[in-house]
Amino acid sequence: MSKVYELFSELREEEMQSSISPVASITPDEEKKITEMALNQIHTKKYGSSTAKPASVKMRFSRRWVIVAASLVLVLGLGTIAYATDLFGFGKVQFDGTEVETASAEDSNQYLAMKDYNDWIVSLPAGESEKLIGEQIEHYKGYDGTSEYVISYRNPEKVAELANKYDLKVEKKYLYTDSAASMFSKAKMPDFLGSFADNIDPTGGLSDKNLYSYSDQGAIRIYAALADGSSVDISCVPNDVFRSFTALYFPLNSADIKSTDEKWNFQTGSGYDVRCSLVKSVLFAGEGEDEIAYDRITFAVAVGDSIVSGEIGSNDQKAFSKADLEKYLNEFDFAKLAD
Amino acid sequence: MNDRKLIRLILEDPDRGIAKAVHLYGGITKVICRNILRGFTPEDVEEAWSDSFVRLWQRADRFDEHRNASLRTFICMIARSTALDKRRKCMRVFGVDFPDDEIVDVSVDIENDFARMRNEQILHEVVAKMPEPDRTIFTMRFFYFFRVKDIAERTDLKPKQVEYVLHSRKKKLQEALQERGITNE
Repeated sequence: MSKVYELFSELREEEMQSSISPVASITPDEEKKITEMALNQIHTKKYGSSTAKPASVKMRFSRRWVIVAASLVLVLGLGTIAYATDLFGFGKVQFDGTEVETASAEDSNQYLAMKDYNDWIVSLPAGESEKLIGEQIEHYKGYDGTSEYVISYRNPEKVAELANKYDLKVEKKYLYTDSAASMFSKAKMPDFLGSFADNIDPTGGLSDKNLYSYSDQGAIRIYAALADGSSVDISCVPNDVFRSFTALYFPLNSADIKSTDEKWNFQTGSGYDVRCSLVKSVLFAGEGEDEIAYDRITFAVAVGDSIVSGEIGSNDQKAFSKADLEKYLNEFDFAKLAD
Repeated sequence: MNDRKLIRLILEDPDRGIAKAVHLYGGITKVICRNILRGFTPEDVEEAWSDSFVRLWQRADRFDEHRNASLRTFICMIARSTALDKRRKCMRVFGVDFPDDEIVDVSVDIENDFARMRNEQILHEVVAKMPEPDRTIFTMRFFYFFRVKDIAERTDLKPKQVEYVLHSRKKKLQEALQERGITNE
């Protein structure tokens, strides 16, 4: 057995250029401290004493660092998108020949803006979209995923134009917080988790300390592990917030993956209609090869002025059923959002 | 300041050169050290982070060996190896290792220098053939040690999609190593 990271000991220049540069901001104090620590060692090695040449340790900080503690979500080029709508109420798009339901209400300005934005991207001349992605990546500076992350769009000017046209707010960033209560409080959103919150394992393997986040425009997101080892990713986004592309159902079709899916509508015990999908995927299926199964269940429900959507992914040992999702959905207290 | 000038400054006047290097590359080296030493103390991270610049000073005269790489790449590799050394040292004490998801299920010979070079070459060939965003995802995970969650956020993909990509690409690497690499079979 060997490890990928052991083989990946050297980074080629083209790999550096192609990867998103993971730049973190550092404070002037950190810069000073690291420089001093390094120079102390260098002086010791060079002169036998860390204080042998103190007078020459000149910290030359010609300018102050602009601290941009942020990450961003890159909206990558994801294929050709066309549009349709669904009787259930969520707008649809064609994603590389596959019909994909969005988690955005078809009669909402949010969906119309999403449609316009993607129409615009699709209409770009060959190579222009990739150029915008490159600019977006280049713009991606100052990442620090420890406290917040920034939302970035391929063309911020176009997003601003559409947000103005459809009277939508544009999210700039999400901030992490330490509890569900704090997240809901800061987002000024009622806590709709109900008893589902009991399933969340704050010490689960997928999660670090950043389980809960909220945006500057009142959306929330939870990414956490559940007690059974599954992962959950839940968002609640107000309808008046711009969204570039959100998929309720997003199969991965490639030579290595075989997926089957089932979609259905479910009414919770408290009367909320939820659009659901269950995707069962097998990786590396083929004669003589190991198979790895992944089940994902996704859902979206329109409640009040928001859309709650989510995805629960199985761990390697657990297979999901429709009943599993329906059980979880009945645990949410969606009525809180309708108040 | 271009790469060559900074290297010369580090060699001729380490005080100014290292201060400049920290100013320019402190951010990226911080991320690398922090990712590799996740779960360790802030002091451990700071130590590896500052040690990276000591090694830069020690190895600055070898920069020409990496003519095809920028100074940024050179420093990243130094920071990565420094942090991994620190981690290995702590592993001997605490007995912890990276999770199994970084394992390629093939027994390659990494002790022999020629074998290591050959297998590394194969890895880079496989990476070069990857389409985007797979190459970025693979590099972020296995060179920079980003968490799946962080990669998902930065590529606007679901964590499971990132896992799919990693599984798929590791499989390709495994096949390439079995086919052309130097293994222990």
